[in-house]
Amino acid sequence: MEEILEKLAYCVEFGKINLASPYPPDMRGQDGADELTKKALEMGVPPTEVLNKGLVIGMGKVGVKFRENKVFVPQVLMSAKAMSFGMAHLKPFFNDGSVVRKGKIIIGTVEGDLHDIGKNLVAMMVEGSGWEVIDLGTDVNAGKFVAAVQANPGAVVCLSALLTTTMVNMEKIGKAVKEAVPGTIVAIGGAPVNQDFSNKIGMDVYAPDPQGLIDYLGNLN
Amino acid sequence: MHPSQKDFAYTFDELNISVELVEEAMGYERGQSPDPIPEMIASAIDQCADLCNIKGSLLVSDSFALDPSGVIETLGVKFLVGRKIGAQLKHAEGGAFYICTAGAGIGERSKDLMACGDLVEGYILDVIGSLTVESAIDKIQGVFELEMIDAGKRIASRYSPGYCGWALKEQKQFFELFPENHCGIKLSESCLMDPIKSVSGIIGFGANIRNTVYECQMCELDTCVYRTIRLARRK
Ligand code: B12
Repeated sequence: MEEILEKLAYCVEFGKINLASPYPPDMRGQDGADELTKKALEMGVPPTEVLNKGLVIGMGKVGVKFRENKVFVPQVLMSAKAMSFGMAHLKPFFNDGSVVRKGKIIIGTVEGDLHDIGKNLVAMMVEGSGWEVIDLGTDVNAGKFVAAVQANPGAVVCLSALLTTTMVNMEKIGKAVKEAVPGTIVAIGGAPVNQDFSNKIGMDVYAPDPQGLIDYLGNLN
Repeated sequence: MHPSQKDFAYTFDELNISVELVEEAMGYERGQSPDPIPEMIASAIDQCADLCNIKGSLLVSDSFALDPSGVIETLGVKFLVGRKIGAQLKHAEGGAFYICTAGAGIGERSKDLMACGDLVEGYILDVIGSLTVESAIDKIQGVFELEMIDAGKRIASRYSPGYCGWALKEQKQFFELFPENHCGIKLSESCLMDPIKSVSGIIGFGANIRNTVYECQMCELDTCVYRTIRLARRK
C-alpha cells in the first residue's frame, strides 16, 4: 500500500500523467497518476489516503522546489495536470462526502483586472495541498465574492491582482466579505502587493507565493 | 520639427523568437529546460504566425516640457512621470511616445488552452505573447534610434507607466496622445490595456542625452519573477 502511494506521489512530482505519456523519459511505459490512483482505490486504499499520502505529497514537493527556483512554472503545471488525472478518480468520494478535504478557499482576480496565470497557479497548488478550491475567475467584483462566501461559510477568500490600479479593489472586496460573513479570513497576493499594503488595508494574510499561502492554511487546521 | 506619428506592423516571423528565448523567459537557462518543454515551445512557436497581430505606433514630439517634479507636457497633454524618470530625461529635447501590441489572439488562445486543461501549452503561449510585444517594441526602438543617430541625437532608455514611480493611473492622460482604439488597443477604466499583451511608454531623445538607467535597474519590485530568478542564479 505504501509503495503504490509513494509511486503516485512520484508521478505527480515529475508530471507523469498516465501510461501513454512519454514524459519523464525514464518512466516511459509505466503507469502514471491516472492508473495508479485507480489501482490504489481498487486495492482498497482509503480515498482520503490516496489524496493525502499520494497526490498531495507529490504536489507539495513541487511546491517547495518552485519556491526555491529549482523548477519553474511549466513543471508545476505538468504536476498539476498529473494531479488532476488522479483527482478525477476521487471525485465520487468528494461528492458523497467520504473524503473530507482540509478546507475550502474561494479565489479570484479582483474587479478591473484580467490577469489569471498567477491566480491559476495558486488555485492549482492549494488544491494540490488537499483543499477544495472555488475559482471565480477574473474581474470578480465584491458582490460575487460575497455571494460565494455566503454559500460557503468558513471558506478562506483569496484575492489576486497584478496592477496597482486594481489592487486597491482588494480593500473594498475584503471589507465587503468580512461585513457579510464576519470572521472570514482574507488572503491577498500578486506582484505589486506586499505585507505593508496588506496591513494597511486590514487583510489577514499576504503571501508572495503559493507555498506561503499553503503554509498559512496548513497552520489553520 | 513637427510632431510625427508613425505606425508599424510586423509578422511573427520577423521577430525571431527562439526556443531558447522562451526558455529563458520562463526561468530556465538557455537550452536547459527539461523534456518535453523544448518540443512544446517549438510547436507553440509554429502556431504563432496565425495568432499574432503585431502593431505599434510611435508619436514623436519635441514640443516637450519637463518640470523638476516630473510632469511632462506635450501636444496639449500633461502627465506625471515622477522624479526618478524625470531625472533620467532631464536633457531630453523631446519624447517618442509608443503603444504596441501582439494582438488579442495569442492571449485568448492561451486562456482557452488553460481552461481546457492544456496548462503547459497555454502558459507557453502566454510567455510567447509577452516576448512578442517586447520584441516588437525593441524593433520599433531600433528604427527610431537609427533615425536619431542620423539626426545627430541619442535616445534614452524606455520607460513605461507603472514603472519607476510613473503611476499606472497616469496612463489615462498618456492615451490621449493617440486616437481612440489606435492599433486596436483600448484602455479600461482600471488602466488595463486590452489586448493584454500590450505595452506603452516613452523614449526620450536629444543631442545631450546620456546613457540612462533602464527600468530593471531602477525597479524596486522585490517579488519580480525576473529578479528572484536572477538572484537564485547568482547564489
Ligand atoms: C510578463 C509581464 C508583462 C507582459 C505580459 C503581461 C500579462 N499579464 O500577460 C507584458 C510585456 C505585456 C506586460 C505589460 C505591462 N505590464 Co507587466 N509584467 C510582467 C511581469 C514581468 C511578469 C508577470 C507574470 O506573468 N508573472 C508570472 C505569474 C506566474 O506570476 P504572478 O501573476 O505574479 O503570480 C505569482 C505571485 O504573484 C503569487 N500570487 C498571485 N496572485 C496571488 C494571490 C494570492 C492570494 C497569493 C497568496 C499569491 C498570489 O503567486 C503566483 C505564482 O508564484 C510582471 C513583473 C513580475 N516580474 O512579476 C510585470 C508587471 C505585472 N507589469 C507591470 C506593468 C506596469 C505593465 C504595463 C502597465 C507596462 C506598460 N505601461 O506598458 C503593461 C500593462 C499591460 C496591459 N495589458 O495593460 C507591473 C504592474 C504593477 C503596477 N505598477 O501596476 C508589474 C508588476 C511590473 C512592475 N512594474 O512592478 N507585462
